[in-house]
Amino acid sequence: MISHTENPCSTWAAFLCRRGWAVKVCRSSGEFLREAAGQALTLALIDEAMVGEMPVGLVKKHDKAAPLILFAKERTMSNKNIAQYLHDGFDDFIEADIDPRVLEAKLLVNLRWALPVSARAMEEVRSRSGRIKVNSAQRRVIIKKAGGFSEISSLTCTELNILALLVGSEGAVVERRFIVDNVWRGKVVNSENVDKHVEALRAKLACYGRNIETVYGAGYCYREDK
Amino acid sequence: MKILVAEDNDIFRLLMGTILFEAGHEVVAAPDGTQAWEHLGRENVDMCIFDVDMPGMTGIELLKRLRADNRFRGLPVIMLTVKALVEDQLSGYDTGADDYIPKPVSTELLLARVQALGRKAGKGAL
Repeated sequence: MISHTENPCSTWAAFLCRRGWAVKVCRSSGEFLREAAGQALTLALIDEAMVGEMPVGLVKKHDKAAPLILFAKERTMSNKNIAQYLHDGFDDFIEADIDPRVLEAKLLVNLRWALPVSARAMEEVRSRSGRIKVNSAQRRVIIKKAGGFSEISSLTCTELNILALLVGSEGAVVERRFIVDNVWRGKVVNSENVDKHVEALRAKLACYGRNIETVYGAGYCYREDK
Repeated sequence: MKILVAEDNDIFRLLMGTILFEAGHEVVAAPDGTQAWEHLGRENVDMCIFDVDMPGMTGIELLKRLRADNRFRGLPVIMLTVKALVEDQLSGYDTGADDYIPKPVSTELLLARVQALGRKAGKGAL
């Protein structure tokens, strides 16, 4: 969140933190750029009063996929101005007196569309060898076995989404926090819950389960060539 | 974009259709949720705008049905309604709405929100 003033950011931040979101309130564009450097920006809420020093291009330059949501004090902006900001590239507009629950719902909607690595966005991912395919839209997992391909149909939606994330990031460590953010999307879930789902996933994948490595203290990595 | 508008008020439906058409969109209009669902089965639409209070199948029921169908999983939906209570909005978002706009809404703001959602959904500027 980027705003010169305390409210409504402090109220929103308190609510969202209680709901498991990681929130940072920045008071200047310089502070934002320092904070954002080297980190993956998920979403930014920008006070209309700061658009002069935080134009869309500046934030999009840092992370072009991050949704940008503009907020302003109630009824201080005309519809024409709001429309112009949306035309300029802001993804949404909210008023400062929005109910925090509605705010969270809108943030989740924006994330749903924006995160390119989320399981939702990846309609079908496959490993480099093509031995495993995860189709999120059809909710199917196809694996290569001796004699052809077969389908694993016993996965839950959560397990399938975790698998899509891991296979889509083959060879890279996917942190537990990242899995929570992308699969549970804003819900408060502890890392033990992730571990339980991954364990169940491994069991259902049979010999392919071994390809999901635990990276202690970090997360999981899908790797076929062992 | 090809936009499906489900709205039971004849005047408002006509108005919406005109506004969207003049902005360069193709419009498919339905006076209730049941007919809107039939259109969804036939037409390949890029976005939907649903009223909430409609006879027969309400906008929320229509949205629920749509989200349960894999064919429409990635279809952007805007709820446009006089039902603006927090609980109404939460119900809309929980059911799978991508935007929830209380009526009345200005033409320019409606078109800007349609454009912004279209951009997010990868449907281009129009």
